[in-house]
Order: sequence, then structure tokens, then C-alpha cells
Amino acid sequence: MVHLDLHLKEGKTSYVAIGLEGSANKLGVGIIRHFPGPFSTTNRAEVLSNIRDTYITPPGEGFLPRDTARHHRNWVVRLIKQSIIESGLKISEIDCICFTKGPGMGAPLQSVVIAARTLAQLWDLPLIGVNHCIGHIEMGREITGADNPVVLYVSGGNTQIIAYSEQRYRIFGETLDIAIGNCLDRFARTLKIPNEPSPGYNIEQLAKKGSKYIELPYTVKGMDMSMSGILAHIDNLAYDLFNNKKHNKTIFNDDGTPKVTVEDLCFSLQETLFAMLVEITERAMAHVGTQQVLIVGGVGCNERLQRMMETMVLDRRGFIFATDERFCIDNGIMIAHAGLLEYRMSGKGFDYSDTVCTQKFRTDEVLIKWRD
Amino acid sequence: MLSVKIPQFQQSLQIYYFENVENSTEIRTKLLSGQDSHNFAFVNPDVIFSKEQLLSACYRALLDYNSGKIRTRSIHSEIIFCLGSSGNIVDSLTRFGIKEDGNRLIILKVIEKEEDVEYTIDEIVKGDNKDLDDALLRENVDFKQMQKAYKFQPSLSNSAREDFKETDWSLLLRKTVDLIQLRGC
Amino acid sequence: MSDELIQLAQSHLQNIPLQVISQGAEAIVFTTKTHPYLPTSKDSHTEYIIKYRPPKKYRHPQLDATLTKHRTIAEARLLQRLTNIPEIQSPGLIALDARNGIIWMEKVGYELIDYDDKISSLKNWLWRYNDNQEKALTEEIKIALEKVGCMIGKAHVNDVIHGDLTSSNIIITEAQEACLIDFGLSYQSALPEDKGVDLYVLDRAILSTHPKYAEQYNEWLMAGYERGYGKDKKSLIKLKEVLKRYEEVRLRGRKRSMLG
Repeated sequence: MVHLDLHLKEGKTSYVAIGLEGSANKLGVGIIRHFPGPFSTTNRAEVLSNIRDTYITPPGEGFLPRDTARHHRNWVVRLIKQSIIESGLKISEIDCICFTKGPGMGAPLQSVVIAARTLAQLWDLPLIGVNHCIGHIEMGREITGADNPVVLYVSGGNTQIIAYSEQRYRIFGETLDIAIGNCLDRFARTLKIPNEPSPGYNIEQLAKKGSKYIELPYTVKGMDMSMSGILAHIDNLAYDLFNNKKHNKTIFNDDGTPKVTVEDLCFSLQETLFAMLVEITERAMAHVGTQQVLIVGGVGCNERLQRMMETMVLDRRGFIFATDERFCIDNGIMIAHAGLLEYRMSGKGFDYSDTVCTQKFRTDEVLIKWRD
Repeated sequence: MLSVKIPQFQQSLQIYYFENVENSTEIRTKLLSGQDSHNFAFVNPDVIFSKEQLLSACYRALLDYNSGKIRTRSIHSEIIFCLGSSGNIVDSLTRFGIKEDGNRLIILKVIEKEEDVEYTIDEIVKGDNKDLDDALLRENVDFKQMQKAYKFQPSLSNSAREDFKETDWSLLLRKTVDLIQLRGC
Repeated sequence: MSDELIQLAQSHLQNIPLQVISQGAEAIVFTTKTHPYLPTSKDSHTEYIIKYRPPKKYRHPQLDATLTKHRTIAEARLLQRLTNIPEIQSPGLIALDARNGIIWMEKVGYELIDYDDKISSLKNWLWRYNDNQEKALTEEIKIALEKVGCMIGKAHVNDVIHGDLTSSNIIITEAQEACLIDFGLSYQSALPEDKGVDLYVLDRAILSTHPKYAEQYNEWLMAGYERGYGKDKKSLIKLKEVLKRYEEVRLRGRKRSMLG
């Protein structure tokens, strides 16, 4: 059992952290409270505030780093103020400022870390840099109660299969090229569907109306998967559909009428991509010997993915865990939570020289001191 | 006669081997005209060197037959097609099927489970009814025809039967079974 | 789950007595003493392996049927490819029912009388002496591991990537030769990266299953691996590339560095 309370401040009965997240187009601010002692069903973390604002681009456009950073700069003060008010806290009650150190997009990460550093200096509080993926994992574990699951982390920027071993979250499998969220988002752009509330959500709604399965490239290599091929393939199919390329017999009948709809394309894409994820997850479960699966990350909100994973997990007599959109989509509270865990172990913040953010930051680089 | 029951399927096989066959031409004509009396698989032994090769093809044919997926008209023609490694039906039927002037013949009859089949093999084939034996098959198999049929790498035509050791026959069998099982895949 | 799947397998293998020997995420492996098409004599002890890929309910049925069929065929094709590389020992293909995801193949290996009659996988073969340092590091072991390494080297020279090199997937035959089995994750690749990862998987597998002597075992394996490339100049250049990549993978700990 790891002792989590070596650094509880005198006179205080709990820990409080504020977390800032902005590695992609979601800007999140969250405030969390931990009570002393190990986490259990009776000792849960308390969410005091969890606010988010998403930078949404027009249909057919993706978000660029510079514009995203501008969005974050414009909103961060507002969100922090709102968050503090919502939590009802006094500044003196806060123990540390946590921020996403990486991985993610450079300029957006930067804009958030500057806000974090400012707060830290303003309020004379320690700064804790957090790995974005660890944030998702630890928040997922805490919210769902899954104690040692295989974690499927799927978002716009990441696709990894992770399992805990000897104080590290080890990556068992991952994408060999693009992330699954990225694949779905880019197809949404091809289809020029709205990015509100998120492109992936809109693909999911279209897929629900699709029924015809079109064969797409399926690329799983051991515990890894590749998605750029399937994206290129389906982009071509969409192009042929929109531009009436009647020679394409996958899309058009002999008489020139279309065989498939946009909904069918979305349906087929999801069925194929998600099957790949479930397959790798099953392999990891067998390899590690666990009965629990936890899905985290924005794509984890997808109901079809959850249903497919559930089918596989139940077939193996296992347990599936997933969070709702408050926690699976990028948010500040997960940064506060993971940051606070780190703070409780060290009792101090990072040196300013260590608070430089980084676009590449592997999940297994972090030493998980708060677990056995 | 060799009687074989393949465990998975309802059907059973009756297999004969004849030497000094006198009426190949007649058999072939009657076969091609679709006569009921000649509903058998007549196989050219020049390209058969092992019972296992033969049975491996029968297995494949019966598997496809029982799944409703045969490519030729009957289970018997399917067996001949399955002996080959090519997807070209006519090619395989020609290479593995009965030759006009052949004086050796392997005959297979597939019997459905509850079927009452009556025939007299000696009325159909005029020759010497012998035991189907691997040693005999090996002695007479034609390496050049085998190479044309299976296109082995390295070429079988460069080998001499006299130099063939047991391990060589084993390897040849393995290669042949591979080709038979993977045909069309 | 298991019983349902075994029943399903049995429905495609009527009258074939099946004994489960392993159940993975991908496939169930059975042994049987009944040959699919050769008459089996009552006192025959020869066993055959049946590998069954069951349907996956979570997949779209069309996708599932396609994947099952393609993967079964791919594995059988690999066995065929290995037949045509006589220096590499592998199980022979006996029968194929790709539509139902079934492969029949030769069972290789023998029963270790000094280890509960367990099959002579490299894992069991080495585990016999796990508690006896003297016996665990003999010349006999060295030679066998070098042979194993050599076989993997030959596979890589032929651009065959095993994909799941663990000590359970390597069999020591009665003649004390090495034989590779289980090609469910195998594929063709000339990339040094893929070969490096193949080796890394084995390195890790040896480390986790035989931690006491892993360092020495891996050393012997690599010595054999290098021998497997032969003396040809081109092959030696390839070997150098692979070894370089292998070191990189070992340092990185994973296949590729992360995407932001």
C-alpha cells in the first residue's frame, strides 16, 4: 500500500488542485478535492468544478495550432474565474496548479502553460506538469472504480492500449500512423459535416442511419493498428460518390444509381475501425490476464464503440468501464486529479525549467509513484 | 478395393486401381456422354504418387460438396478438379482425368450415406484389378507430367526417380498437399 | 464462452474427437488422434493439431467472415511458404477449411518424460532445469538455443516475420532440432524494423518466462541468429541493419515514438 499523505499541510483536512487543459481544441479548467487516505468506495475524489470551452471550426475545416492557441488565450481567464466561483473556494485553500505538459499541439499547450505559470506566481503556489494520457487514465480509474484494467485510450490525438505494470503505464499497442479520432475527424471534413458539437459525434449520428457494410482495409499488426490506409480508401469512395464516378462499382450500380449512402460509409468506417480497436483490446486482455477494460478519451463517448467492446468483454466474462462526456472528452479536472496525485507524493512543485511543455510525451515516461 | 470413410462427412469412398486397361477410350466416351453407369471419378495414375495425395483431394472435394460450393457438375468431377493446383477446371480435368489411351486407371466412387449402389467394376473397366499401393504408384508416376500439373519449384523434371529418397517423397507429398488444400485460396 | 465455442468447433468437425490444448484471443487449438482423411488405426498414437478461429460476435458479420477466411488462408499460405524453405522446420499443412476458420496441421514435438509429459516447447524444455543452475547452462542447452536462433535468422532472411515469438511457440523436436509453430500473427516483410521487433518480442518473452538465465539464453539465441544469415555479403549487410534496429527498439522499449 502506497502512503499518499506524506505532505498533508498542517491544519488542512483535504487537498485541492486546479487543473488546466488545452493540448488540442478543448480548453478545460477543473478543480478537485482529495481527502486523506487511500481511495475507496467511501473515499472518493470530489469534483468542485469542471468547465470546458471547445474551439469549433466551420464544416470542412480542421483546427490550426495558431487559431486554437488564440482561442485558449481568449477564454482561459474567464474559465478560471468561473471555475473558482463555482467551487466556492478561497485561493488560500488551493494546494497546487496543474497543467498539461504534453503531449499535444505546441502553440495551444504553450498558451495554457503560460496561464498556469502566471497563476502559480500570482498565488504563490507550486506548479505540477501532467501527462495528458495519465490524466485520462487516472480520472477514468477514479470515476469508474476500475482498479487494474487494460485501458483503451482513444482520442483525436492518441490511440493506445495501456496496462499498468511496475509503476508505469506501459503501452502494449498503439497506432502506427494516425489516431482514430483524427481519422474520423478528417473523414468528417471530407464529408463537410458540421464540427459542432464534435465531428466524431456527427459521424456517429450518420452511422446510426447507415446499414450497408462496405469492405474497407482492415489493418491490425500484432498489438498495433494502422489507419491512414483506411482513411485514404474511404476518402476516395466519398469522392467518387460526390462526383458521380459511375465506374466505381462499389458505389454505383450498373444503371448509374448509387448503391451506398454517406450514412453507409460512416457506418462501415466505424464498424471497421472499432473492430480493430476491440481486437487489440482483446489481445491485450489475454496477454496481461485481466478481466477489466476501461475506455478513455474523446472517442470513448461513441456508443457503438462502447457496445462493441461490451460484447467482447461480456463474452470473456469480464467488466467494461467507461465515463461520460464530462470526463472522456479532454477536460481540466483530469489534469487536476493526476497532478494532485503527483503533488501528494512529492509535496512540492516542478522547477520552472521543468514546466516547458512538450508535443511528444510518452505515457510510459511517467513514474507512477502513487501506485504499488 | 480400398474402402475409405472420411469421418466428418456422410459419404464414403470406394477406390480401385487397374493396370493393363484395354477399354480406356470406351470408358472415356461413356463418361463424357454422361451415362449413369459411368458416374465415377476416373483418375490418371501418371500424376498420382500417393494415396494421401488422392485422399487429400477427396477431402477438399467433399468439404466443398457438403457446403454446396463445388465448381464442377458432380462430386466425381470435383474430385478430379481438386487434385489440381489450378483454378482452370478444363486444365485440371484434362491432366488428372482419364486419358484416351491410358493403360492404368484409378477409379473412385462416392457413396452417399443411405445409398444402395450396385455396380460391377469389372464390367466397367477391362483390366487387372490391383491393390492401390504407394510403392506401385511411385514406381510409375510420370515426373514430367507431375511438373506440368503442379509447377513445383524447383522443377521436378530435373529429378530422377532413382535418386529419390524417402525424405524427397515426403517433401513432395507435403508440397502437393499444400497445393491441393490451398487451391483457389 | 469456452463451451459454446467448443461446441461450435465440433459442429464443423463432426465425428472428430477434440481435446482443447489452448484458448487464445484469436483461436482455440485442439489435438485429435483422428486424421481428417487417412484411415486411422485404432492403436495409433499420432496426434494432429486443429486450429479453429471462432466467429467474433462484436464484428459485423460480413467483416467477420472475411477476416476469419483471410487469416486462416494467410496462415496456411505461410505454412506452405515454409514447406518450400526446407532449412526451416515447421508443421506440415494437412487440411484447410477456410470458410469455417479451421486448419489441420502436424503436431510437432514430443512428451518430456522428465517434466510431467509436457510438450517439448522451448519453454517447457528449459523449465525442466530452472531450479538447477548447473543443468540450466550446459552445452546441450547452448547448442539448442543456437539452433533456435539460427532458425529465426533463416526465417528473417526469407522475410518471414513470426509475429509472436515466445518460448511457447518454439518446439524442440525429438531429434533436438528447433521448429517454429503458431503463425497466426505472421506476415511477410523485408523491413529491418519488423525483424528487430520480432527479436525484441522474443527477448522480452525469454526475460519474463526465464528470468534467472535470460541474459545467457538471449546471448546464445542471438549468436545462433547471426549464424542463420550465412556468409553471403548481401545477407550480412541485412543482418547489420537488423541488429542496429534491434538495439534501437530495445532502447526505445516500443516500436515507434509517440505522435503528439
